[in-house]
Amino acid sequence: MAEQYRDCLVCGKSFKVCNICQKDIDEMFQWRRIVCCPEHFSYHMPIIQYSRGKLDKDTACNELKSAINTYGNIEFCDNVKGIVNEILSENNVQ
Amino acid sequence: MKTIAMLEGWTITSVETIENYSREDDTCLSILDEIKNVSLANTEDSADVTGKNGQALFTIKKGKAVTGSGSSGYISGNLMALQTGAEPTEGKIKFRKREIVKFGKDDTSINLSETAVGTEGNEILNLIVTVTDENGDVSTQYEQATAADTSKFAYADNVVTLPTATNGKNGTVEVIYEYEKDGASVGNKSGTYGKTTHTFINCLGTNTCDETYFIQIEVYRCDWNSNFTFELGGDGVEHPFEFKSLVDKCSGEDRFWDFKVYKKSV
Repeated sequence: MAEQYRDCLVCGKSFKVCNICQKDIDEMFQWRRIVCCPEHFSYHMPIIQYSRGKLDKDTACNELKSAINTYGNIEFCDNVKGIVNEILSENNVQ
Repeated sequence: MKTIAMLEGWTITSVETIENYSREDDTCLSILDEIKNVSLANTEDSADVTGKNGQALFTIKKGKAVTGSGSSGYISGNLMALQTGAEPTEGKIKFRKREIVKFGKDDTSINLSETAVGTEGNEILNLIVTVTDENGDVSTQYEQATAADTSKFAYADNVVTLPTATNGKNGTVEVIYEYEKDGASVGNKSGTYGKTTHTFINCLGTNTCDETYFIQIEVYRCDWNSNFTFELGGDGVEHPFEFKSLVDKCSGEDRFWDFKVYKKSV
């Protein structure tokens, strides 16, 4: 079977998907299904949960800032840039 | 050895239940109450010691063994757990679903019949959109993203927001995802084998005077195995089983089974 690739939900980089690895851990934390590296998972969670209305803006902002402080600023893909700007907009952090 | 009257003159008319208990703490592990048939095969090996002209002088008996088999009229998950050595679980169980949903020119999203579960951003395992245009049917596979755009779809709360490239078109969406329901599950792992239980086969019998007897066959170490075949489809599915009775060393009496009977009062 051909290897499956998809675009990282955070930076847009193409990466090899694996839906089988780490099935022993909670599905919520299986980053290989959606992002290119475990670091980008920290950016992904507040972004998607805010977009779905599961997190309020302040909490999402704090979590996103925490990821930025830990792993640095990254170039977000066009798919989430608008959401990231909205989350960070009143805090002038970018 | 004297004959015991109660052990004579009756026949078994029905097998009522097969009950399986833990040998350690007597927890009831499984009850089968729709037994279609059950057999208990007792065997032994023997070797003749011969003398002149090949005459048999002695018979050396050895290798007593007891095996059982039968079939339940319905599938029993708890029996499956004994046969496969698995631990049954209950709670939120995942089921996979394939759904095909139509959409029209004015639709920008579709609703799923169940709530997809999984890693956030990957709840939809596979999505293929087939649109009908002047070129006929064109199918395209799309990836899930946080937000829908030209080439990506999004998902939240049972709603799939279609890629904007499909807007203004008619077509169908094939969606593959998993959802959860309160249920139960029993598995078959490669590294586990059938369990050993303390088993009771309860039967009813009758004699020529139409008196009812209760018969209980107690199997002290009933070793279930994974030899069973489900014939799926057709007129109902039986659940076959096989077991071996092992010698009960723990009691010190080295028994395979005891066949017990009493006359039920009218």
